[in-house]
Amino acid sequence: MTHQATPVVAALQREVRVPCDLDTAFRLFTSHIGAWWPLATHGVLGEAASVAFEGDRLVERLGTEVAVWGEVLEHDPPYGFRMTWHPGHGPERATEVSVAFAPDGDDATVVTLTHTGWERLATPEATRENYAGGWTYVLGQFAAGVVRPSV
Amino acid sequence: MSNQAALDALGDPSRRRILELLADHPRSVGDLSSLMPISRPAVSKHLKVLEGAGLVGHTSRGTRNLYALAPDGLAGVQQWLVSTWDRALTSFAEYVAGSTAIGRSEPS
Repeated sequence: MTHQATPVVAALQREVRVPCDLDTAFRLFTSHIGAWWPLATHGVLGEAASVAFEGDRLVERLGTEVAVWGEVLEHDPPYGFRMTWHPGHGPERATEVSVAFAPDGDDATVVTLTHTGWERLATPEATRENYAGGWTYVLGQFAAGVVRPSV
Repeated sequence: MSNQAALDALGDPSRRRILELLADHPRSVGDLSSLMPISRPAVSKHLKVLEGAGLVGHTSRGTRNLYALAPDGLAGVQQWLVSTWDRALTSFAEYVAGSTAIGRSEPS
């Protein structure tokens, strides 16, 4: 038996408004990610590490240690990008993050981040029968109530 | 990263299957192993990991333990994810505010 359609799990979505134009917001978010990402608390290799986009990959480095956080799937400057997301894990554990940039007046940009792909973590094998019930419920709990509050 | 134990626990297909089964209703080890292609000791081992990660809890019913989803197990993971992105986006906004203020003499 093959799977029915993968259950759609609510995306986790967050947004933030920043005081600059679209191009600047996109550039600072991507090219300057090492300057603003809170590595001390939200990295794999710790505070002393650095993080940057290297070609299509987002890479954290500390000396000879390397952690690939994900690979860019779509790059559409200055409107957004989409990438796989697996800090601390191999690509087989990837979820997906997309970041969209939209102008909000002349001097502000709204950045919307959407984190999806939980169903990939939930459906590793296409052979499993009787799938649809439980995990959908569990992931429903997991993703419930996180629809775009502003930061 | 915090909540790593929960995320690691979710990384195993047998453990996800156990969570699916427990989502229906609480079950014993024997009940779970009869529904899965793995042995009772293997089920017990997975339950231990899930319990250690705060995803599952158990109550003793006579001579056997009954396992159930921990009410706040996945809420913790969810909260952690939300706080991760909020922290990152707030940090980005602060960085933008700092960068755009430099070189500008803003009238106060």
